[in-house]
Amino acid sequence: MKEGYVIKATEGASKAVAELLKSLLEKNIFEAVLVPVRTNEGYNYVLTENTDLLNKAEIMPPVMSVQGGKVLQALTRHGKSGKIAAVMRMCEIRAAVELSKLEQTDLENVFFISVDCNGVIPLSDYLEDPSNAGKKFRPLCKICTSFSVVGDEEVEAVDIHAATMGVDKGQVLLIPMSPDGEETLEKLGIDEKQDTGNWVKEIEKLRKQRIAAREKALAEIKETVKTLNGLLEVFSRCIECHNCRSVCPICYCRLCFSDKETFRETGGEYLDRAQAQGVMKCTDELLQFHLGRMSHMSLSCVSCGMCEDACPVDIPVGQIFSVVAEQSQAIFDYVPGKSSDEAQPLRTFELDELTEVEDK
Amino acid sequence: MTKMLKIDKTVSDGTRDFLRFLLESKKVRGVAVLTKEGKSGCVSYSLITDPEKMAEAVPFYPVMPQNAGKCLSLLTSKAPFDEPVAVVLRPCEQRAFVELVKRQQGSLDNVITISSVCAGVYPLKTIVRENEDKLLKDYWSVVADGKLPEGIRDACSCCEHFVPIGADIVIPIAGEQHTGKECKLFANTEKGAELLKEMDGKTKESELETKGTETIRQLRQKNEEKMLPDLEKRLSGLDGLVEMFSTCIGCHGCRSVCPICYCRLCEFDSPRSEYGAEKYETELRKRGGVRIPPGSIAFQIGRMIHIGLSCVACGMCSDVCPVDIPVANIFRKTGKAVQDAFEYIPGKDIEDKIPVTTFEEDELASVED
Repeated sequence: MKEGYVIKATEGASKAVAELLKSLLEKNIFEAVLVPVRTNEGYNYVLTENTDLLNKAEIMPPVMSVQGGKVLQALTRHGKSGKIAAVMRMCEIRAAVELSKLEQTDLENVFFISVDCNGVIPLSDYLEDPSNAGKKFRPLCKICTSFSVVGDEEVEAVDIHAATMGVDKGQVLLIPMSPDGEETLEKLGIDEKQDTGNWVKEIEKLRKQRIAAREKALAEIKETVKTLNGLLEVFSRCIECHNCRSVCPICYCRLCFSDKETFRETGGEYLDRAQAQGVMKCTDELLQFHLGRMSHMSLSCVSCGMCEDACPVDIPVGQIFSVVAEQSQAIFDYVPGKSSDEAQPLRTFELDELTEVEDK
Repeated sequence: MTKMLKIDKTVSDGTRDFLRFLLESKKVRGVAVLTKEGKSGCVSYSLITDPEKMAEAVPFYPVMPQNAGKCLSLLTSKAPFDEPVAVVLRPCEQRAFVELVKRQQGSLDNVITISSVCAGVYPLKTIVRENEDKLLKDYWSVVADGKLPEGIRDACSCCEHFVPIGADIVIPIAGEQHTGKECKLFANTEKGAELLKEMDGKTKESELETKGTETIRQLRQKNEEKMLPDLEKRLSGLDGLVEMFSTCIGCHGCRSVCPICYCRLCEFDSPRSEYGAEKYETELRKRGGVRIPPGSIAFQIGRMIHIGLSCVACGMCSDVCPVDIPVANIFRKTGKAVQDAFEYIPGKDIEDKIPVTTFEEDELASVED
């Protein structure tokens, strides 16, 4: 059984981890830390070396304003960062790893500290009343099974996991997840150690509940989109703002395939198309956009729910994408973000793949 | 006095009849108009060629799913319509389209515009989240009272250009008390008068703007006077800006739906706007902390500079903001200031050049003074 290092969290887990970050900076183990910080009304990722600023750090902000994967993309797209520690939720770390496979992040100098994630509140609910935080959750957070790093859900990129579930209140258990993590924790000289048994038990218990809830919720969503008419109905109110794509950590293309000029037709051609059925929606191929995006990113979809949060007309786009992602990822036995070395299924080839298809 | 045709039906039914007539009489090949989509309370712009399908049209449904200027740009940017098409759109949408045409993003060829003295639209979130039937009932009963509906977009409740400029046919709605039983079609141009010929109804000469229109104009002015001081207070100084946009999630939805922002690749999505490792290092040393992704205020100000002169204050940007930043109010205020400086009303006249694309010799002197 693994052991973790105990730190005091009498003022809450967030403060405790912030203190940890301060000592990491003070001991010059890292040049800077990347952490969500309360800024006026919002929460934003801030890269900082300023220990005072860390007093405003919020390790588990109630909302996800920008997906952490996207933050690391902005930070490292043009080359690796200095040595930094980043505190993130699991879906954010997994997105960052997927982006590294797409050459959009360089994680060489990024040391990941993950947290047990309770989930976040939808942006609209938070804006309506910030005290909703902790009461309402993104639909995908409520059925998330990858909220920690126990067993199958382990993610290679994580160096230290800050465990809070099943851990005594007033404590955070820092669990080394990599040799680098182990070494770093040793440098901090924390005396008290504890075994991780209770934490593992708690995570497994919660995961069991989540798996059941997930099956049920996704089955319901599947029912609504299983026919073409169902799909059309669900997406009928889409206004094509493409916010879902903009906030998606995996959709990294600077110029999206669906925005190609080639798809445009002449005024006369549009009229001919309208003539075919008597009426034509003036659109850039609405359903095709969503299906296309799905086929482009679904193998890497981490089900974070950003897309659903940013949709101005409340389409359950995250849940629909999650249903599809779960199935496409299962075919390839691929868990996005789990391992940095594992190639994305469409970028690799296995000799026996062809026979497998032939057999059917 | 303008030539007017009166149909004794509700404004929506009368307009549908007229559009059907245009298709049946082959005066136009198609009609672009709002249609109901699915069961979920939303609408979209559709191109209709079959008169039978006109039953699906909801010409004045008080929601703007996209700015119609953008839809028309999609339909005509590659090549113009080769046959006449009638388009039902709101004044701000028509102005947006004219601005897009000035930027070579569409063509007015064969486009016939049918617009309305606009009573405004509800925010998308309202129609999606609240009781649609009740909203529609409230809307039309308040309009028939000669007032402005409650809960419409801020941009609509303060709108100063709610009477269309340059449309071929204009249908009065705001300030018009008989929308429940009368549909009036004003022929604003010769093209418009041509369309009205042979259509059933009573023709007479009449004034488009009435006392009711003036009442609505004053109401809207008052609304603006109420809104501005609070906005100015919140926006004062860099601190105000930073606070206002502190919740911005960088989705850039405001830009995606803006009818004026037409660039396929935005300056702010280009590598030029991105920080490299060195830049982060410098910023970090200078400020101790860098918000990532960086440049959220620079994006807003930059976009403002790029589109301010042509902003038609339609309000789409506020509507799609997932964190309810009053983007449209901010852009409207700034837009108006720069437009006033150049005495430019975006979309008013296709012949008016966009001020920054032209030059007047005495301009320099006026800055020097």
